[in-house]
Amino acid sequence: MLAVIELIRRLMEKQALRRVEAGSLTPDEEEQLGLTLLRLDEKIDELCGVFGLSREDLDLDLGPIGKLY
Amino acid sequence: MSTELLLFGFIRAAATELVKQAGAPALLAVAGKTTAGVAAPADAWPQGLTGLQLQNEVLWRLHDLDAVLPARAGTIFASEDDLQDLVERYNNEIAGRLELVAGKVELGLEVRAPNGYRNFTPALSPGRRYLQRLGGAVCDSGPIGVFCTQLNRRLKEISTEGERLVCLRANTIFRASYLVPKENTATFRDIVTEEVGRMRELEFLITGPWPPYSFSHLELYKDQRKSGVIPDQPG
Repeated sequence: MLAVIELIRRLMEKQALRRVEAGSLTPDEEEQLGLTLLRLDEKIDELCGVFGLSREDLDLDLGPIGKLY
Repeated sequence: MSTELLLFGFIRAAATELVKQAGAPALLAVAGKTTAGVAAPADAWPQGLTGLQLQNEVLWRLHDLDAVLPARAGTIFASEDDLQDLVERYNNEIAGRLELVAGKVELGLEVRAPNGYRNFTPALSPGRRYLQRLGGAVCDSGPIGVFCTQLNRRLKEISTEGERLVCLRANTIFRASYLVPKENTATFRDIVTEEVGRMRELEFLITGPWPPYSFSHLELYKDQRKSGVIPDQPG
């Protein structure tokens, strides 16, 4: 389950970067977006600690797309 | 046996005679209703960098003579019939883009801070620093951000279209491409010199003029990409 959450989080990061690259966000919106992603990243670390996992343990084999990391 | 074709770009059908003046004997024009695809047999075209340079020269000559919409490098068609089918199907869209780019050239601009932009901009806030760590081109709200916005606005005023790509990544604070009417190319350089001259420690590089590589924007690529004919854009 945590690996799926990590996959979704990574997808959200990619989408966020697309928005940033498109230049459609104000500096305030960028800050909010960045902070949200930062907290999500920290939360994943926290959950990994609770379950005794490392980030590498969340690596998913996505078949023809490759590995998550 | 059919020969694979390497597509270079699209021109107006009325301009197909100009292909003979493009300086490459293997070229052929596959005409649709009002537009045509310019291609060469893939096995007759030099490979690697030489082939790309030659392709650029052909496109530049065609654009100088009339107008050209460059295709992505490495776009291959299995046969002349396949290319003909595509030209027919997207004739109106290609014609519209050709009309837009006619008489215009692509100019690129990169502004760099050789000693690092952090020397004259406030530190980024945590959220934006995180985005930048992910590889995002985060725009600055300080003097650099104001500079980039002003520069981009002035260049867009003399351009038909502008594509701002990044700001604040490594030492590059601004990178963009513009579709500029030929008669405005000198003004473009003047604006850049004037604006960048206001900011100490900055260097700039103007590239081009090029055929309008960044301004093809054709829907046909979506279909073709699905079938694996046209390579995806890098990044």
